[in-house]
Amino acid sequence: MSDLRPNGARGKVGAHSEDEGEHAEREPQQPQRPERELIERAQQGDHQAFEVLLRRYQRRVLSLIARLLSRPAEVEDVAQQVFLKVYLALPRFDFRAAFSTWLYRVAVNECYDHLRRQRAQKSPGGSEIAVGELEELDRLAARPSRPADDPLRRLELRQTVEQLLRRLSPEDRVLLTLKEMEGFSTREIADLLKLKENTVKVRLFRVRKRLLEIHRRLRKREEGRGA
Amino acid sequence: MKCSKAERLWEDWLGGSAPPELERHLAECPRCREQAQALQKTSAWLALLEQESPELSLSFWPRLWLQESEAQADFWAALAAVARPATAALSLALLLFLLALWGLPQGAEPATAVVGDPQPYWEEVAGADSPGNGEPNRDQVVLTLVSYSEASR
Repeated sequence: MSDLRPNGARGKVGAHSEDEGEHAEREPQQPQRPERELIERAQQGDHQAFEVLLRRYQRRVLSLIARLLSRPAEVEDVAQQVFLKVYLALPRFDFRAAFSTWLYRVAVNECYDHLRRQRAQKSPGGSEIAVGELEELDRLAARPSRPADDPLRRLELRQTVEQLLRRLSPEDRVLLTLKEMEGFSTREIADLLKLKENTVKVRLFRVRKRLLEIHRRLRKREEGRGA
Repeated sequence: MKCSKAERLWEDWLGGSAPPELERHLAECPRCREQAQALQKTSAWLALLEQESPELSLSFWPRLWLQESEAQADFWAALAAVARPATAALSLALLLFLLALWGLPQGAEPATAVVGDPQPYWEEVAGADSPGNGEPNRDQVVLTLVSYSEASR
């Protein structure tokens, strides 16, 4: 069965350490201030310390929100809510958890709320998906290393996958996105969502099955329409 | 290994770190092999969604601090809105308490027996000689009252 074995960390952001968020924003000329010192200063109301602290994680948090919401126009507004909540709750942060875990948890919870509000306002159906794209997704899975060479086709497929994801519940979508797109390990997701690791693994398996079922039903429906 | 046990091993398998028992199971279970291929599809689909990280606009931080000062102002306003009626209610309660203290009867004596009070005699008489119904006989009552009035002179 080795031919079935996936490549593992394909296309992922990478493993996460407590300090991983800052790599992209790190300025080589300036020495890094210890995170604890920045947090303590921010807890006392120092805006500048808070900005320096959050800039270390900003890219990662934005990426997380963008992937969870898949609506670029809403990313900055949600990020603002996340940062504001973190700032206002920071005096209660007691260093028992890693700051990054706490920050991502606030971001994930804010995204949950946002997705739930969206879901409550709109019907889950979304727009129609062409049967050709659903078939293409099936073919794509057979050769994952070469997804549609044509950029336009790739964009269409991406939109199709986004439509499939929108049909999942916010909880399922967040879980799958954290694992597949943000590259969090099941252990990290368990910490983030305060679950047991085995629970995360089983839930992920079930979410994948639900996604496959959504794809199967849509394809059947669209084929029925075309006939 | 049973197929149901694989439920919590699929994520490890997709990440390339499945235990050998799952590999052995896959080799002999066509249903799970099919399952494995299907699960791989989901990873391939999501790989399409990789995108550039968005950047924050220049106005992000100023807007954040503006929102923060509004949130702080809202907090104090909400606190004041709660505190005002609470303070009024507390003041009223204190006032009522003080009025109640002030209005209590002054120098009220405790209900203790006084020397020479006929009541004990009466009870003694009634308990000792009444024929079962607790009522004293008339002679004894008169005698008791006379001796009480003489004693108090």
